[in-house]
Amino acid sequence: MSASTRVDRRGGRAVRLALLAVALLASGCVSHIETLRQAEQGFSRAAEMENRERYGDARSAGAVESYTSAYRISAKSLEKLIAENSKELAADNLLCTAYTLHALALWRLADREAAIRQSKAALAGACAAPGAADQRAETPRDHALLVALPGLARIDEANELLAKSPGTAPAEERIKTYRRIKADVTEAIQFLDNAERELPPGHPLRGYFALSRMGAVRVWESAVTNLLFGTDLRDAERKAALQAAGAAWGQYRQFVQCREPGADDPAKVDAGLQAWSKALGVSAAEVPAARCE
Amino acid sequence: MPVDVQLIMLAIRAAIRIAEQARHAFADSLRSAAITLPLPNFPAAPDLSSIENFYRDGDGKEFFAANLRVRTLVGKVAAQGPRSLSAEEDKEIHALFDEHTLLIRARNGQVVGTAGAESLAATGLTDEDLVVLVSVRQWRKGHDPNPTVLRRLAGTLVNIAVDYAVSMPDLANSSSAQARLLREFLVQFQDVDFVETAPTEIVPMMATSLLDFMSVHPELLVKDRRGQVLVQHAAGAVYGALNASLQAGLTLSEKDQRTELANGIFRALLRGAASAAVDNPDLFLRASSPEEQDLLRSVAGALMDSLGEAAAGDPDRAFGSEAFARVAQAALLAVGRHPELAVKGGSPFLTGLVRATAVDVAAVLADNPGSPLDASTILPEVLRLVLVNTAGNLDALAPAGLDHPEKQLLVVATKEVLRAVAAAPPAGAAWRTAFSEDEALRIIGVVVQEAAQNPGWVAGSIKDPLIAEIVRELLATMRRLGSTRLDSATAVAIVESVLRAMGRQYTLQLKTAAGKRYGTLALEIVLTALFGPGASAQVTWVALRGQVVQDIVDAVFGVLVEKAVNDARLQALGAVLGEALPLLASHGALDMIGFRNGVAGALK
Repeated sequence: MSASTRVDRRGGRAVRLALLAVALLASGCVSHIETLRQAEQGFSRAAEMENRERYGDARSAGAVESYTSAYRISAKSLEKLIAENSKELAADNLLCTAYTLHALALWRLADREAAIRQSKAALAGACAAPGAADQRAETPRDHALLVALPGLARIDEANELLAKSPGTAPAEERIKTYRRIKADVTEAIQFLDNAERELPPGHPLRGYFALSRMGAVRVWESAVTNLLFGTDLRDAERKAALQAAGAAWGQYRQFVQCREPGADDPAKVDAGLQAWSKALGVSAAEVPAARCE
Repeated sequence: MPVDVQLIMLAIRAAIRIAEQARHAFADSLRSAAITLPLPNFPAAPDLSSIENFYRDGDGKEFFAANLRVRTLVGKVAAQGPRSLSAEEDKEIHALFDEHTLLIRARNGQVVGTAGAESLAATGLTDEDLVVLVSVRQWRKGHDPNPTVLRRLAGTLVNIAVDYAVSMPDLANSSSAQARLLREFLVQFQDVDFVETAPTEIVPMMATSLLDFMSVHPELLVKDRRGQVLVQHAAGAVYGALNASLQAGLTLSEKDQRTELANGIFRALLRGAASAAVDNPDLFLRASSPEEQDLLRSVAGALMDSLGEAAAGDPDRAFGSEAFARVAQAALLAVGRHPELAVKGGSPFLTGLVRATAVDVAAVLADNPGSPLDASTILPEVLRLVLVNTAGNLDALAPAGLDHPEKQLLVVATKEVLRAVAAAPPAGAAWRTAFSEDEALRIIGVVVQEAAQNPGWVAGSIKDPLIAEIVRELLATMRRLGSTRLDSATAVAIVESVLRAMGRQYTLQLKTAAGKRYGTLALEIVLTALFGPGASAQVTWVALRGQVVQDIVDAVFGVLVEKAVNDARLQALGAVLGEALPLLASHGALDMIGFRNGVAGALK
């Protein structure tokens, strides 16, 4: 009898049965996690596509339809998942993540009211603030995103308003529109600041908030140029916007220069700072240097 | 409690714990994974507002003071709005802005002219912003409050080990060989980031397999350092093979199947390597060398890649664990004898060889749906035969080189012979019995061994090797001339006898002027003499005893091996059998020596 035959089958049989048990248990217990994973991946792919399309250096045909469709699929899937599996998601501490992704997908589908409603509902329940269910420590990113979401929606609204405003309208009308835009931007920055206060120091979401804040200020600056020409308000408003730009750029610099050492190539960090300094019209010399702790 | 039942209960309890912890780990990893965030809508590229800020209050103040054209254009925008600029003026102010920002950067000693801000700013955000800053994890690096996967699994592993410690008391002793072996296994995984790699449950699954193996075979692998290293290398090899096979786009259930397959391969490697170590101690466990890990990785990779789909994630379903271990052992043997088959990251040749064999066997059996042959029985043994015999004569059997495993001659020959064996008898065949799996494998075994000893059998034609052609001729002859009562085991023995004779006597392979092969004709003559219409009832009666037919064929072909065959001798054979067989059958004692001498005397 060969040695291979001597190695008998008992162990193998036991493990086979065990594997069967694993398969049965695993397939039944993780389907909601798997659905969430797929929705999350779909959402991330859509976001990547949209960011590239809006802010990258190349446009591709059909990209808008592709990412819109991906957001829609993700939103539908999350809506169904939350409706049918909220207990299981809560048991696995994933309900807040599901709510957050759903709200973000609705926001990108321009259903801003539903997105804000969803974020409020989540913050009142699964993603409650400290002192309620103290869920914040579990998902700081998701919690902060939900707090910031109305602000992100305001930036879109302000940008939309700016794009629709004819530069040929009478001064009074342009000033009125400008005031609405400024109010939206100011409010958006407030939301972003509040959300950032919820985050621990050095959290990676601070970088995203810094980008969004600078984006909000860019809307404000453009609104000054496009709507306030020939008015007495213009100079003071331009300076106010520029001051906000300096503050936003300073926060961005603080983040990118104070991340964990070796996180990024200094040349890339520098390129980003210069690009934003140029877009905002901010002088680096006028902004206090970053102080990394 | 009987050992079997006890083991099964332990394994099930372990499996339940693994499933629970794996679920927690999966949820943890999803919660902490980075998501890409979409940015809100805003005008990213610099515009006239950027330009005015730059000149009036930013770094470009000196140009505003010194350059009248700048002042004029910026003033126009301030007084009358952006639309007041003509297209040329708009282009001009942007060009001035670009020039002045570059000048300032150059003065400050900053790099100018590379893919820096001057080009990126024209299009929007930098790659750094678009890729890095918008991809956000739940927690800052190093601040994830969830336990690492290995730590989360640690509790499970401890519980599993405690269960097994009942039957393996030495496991509780940290200095025992068994505890050391388990530790060596875990060391392999201490630095693995499971969020980024293979499913977490593979570790406790493999740990359970290892404990299971140790509990049944306490004497194997634990004796010395070499066994520990082998376990560590096998675990690493299987984990590596699993990771490599988990390409993007697989569903959860496909990942589960691959994970189970990986664990099946780990068990097969443990059993195969342990058996090989006993059978070939010089070849295996020689040292804790890097080559050994390459060897195991090559074998694990070959089995994982080639059989992932065929086994549908469950090697036991496809092969049975014992057969799977034999394949692993054969692969280890093949690579052990030809270390060049084991290359870093796995061997494409070995992988291709296993895959080509598996595909060929599956294709032949699919072409013959009525055949009683089953892939799960046939494939592992065919693989074993190919792998073991490859080890003996690699250069001759792989004339197309290691880049073309599908042209390995044994693979080709095996496929064609299996096709002949699996084929249904033709209409009107006298002998219609089908071959069992054991019989089919015996024929393939003879063919593979003959071809490995003498690659000339298969070297002539890559598409249809000579040995396969001859097997087809022999089977056709028996189908045509065999008695309905000829049993299949005797038929296999006849094929074996004739093939071996042909391997030794070259003239038996040659053909007559009429295009018929001498060896096949000789068999025709024997079968006609035994079962043909001219055969006496006494001869046919005696020939129905399978062993007698086999002895007669052995005797006739034994003589033909000694004497080269030609037309005259073939004719003489017919004549002598017509006399010698009735004589043989008339004596109840069946004097085979006298029969053989009689045939030899006639074939002068």
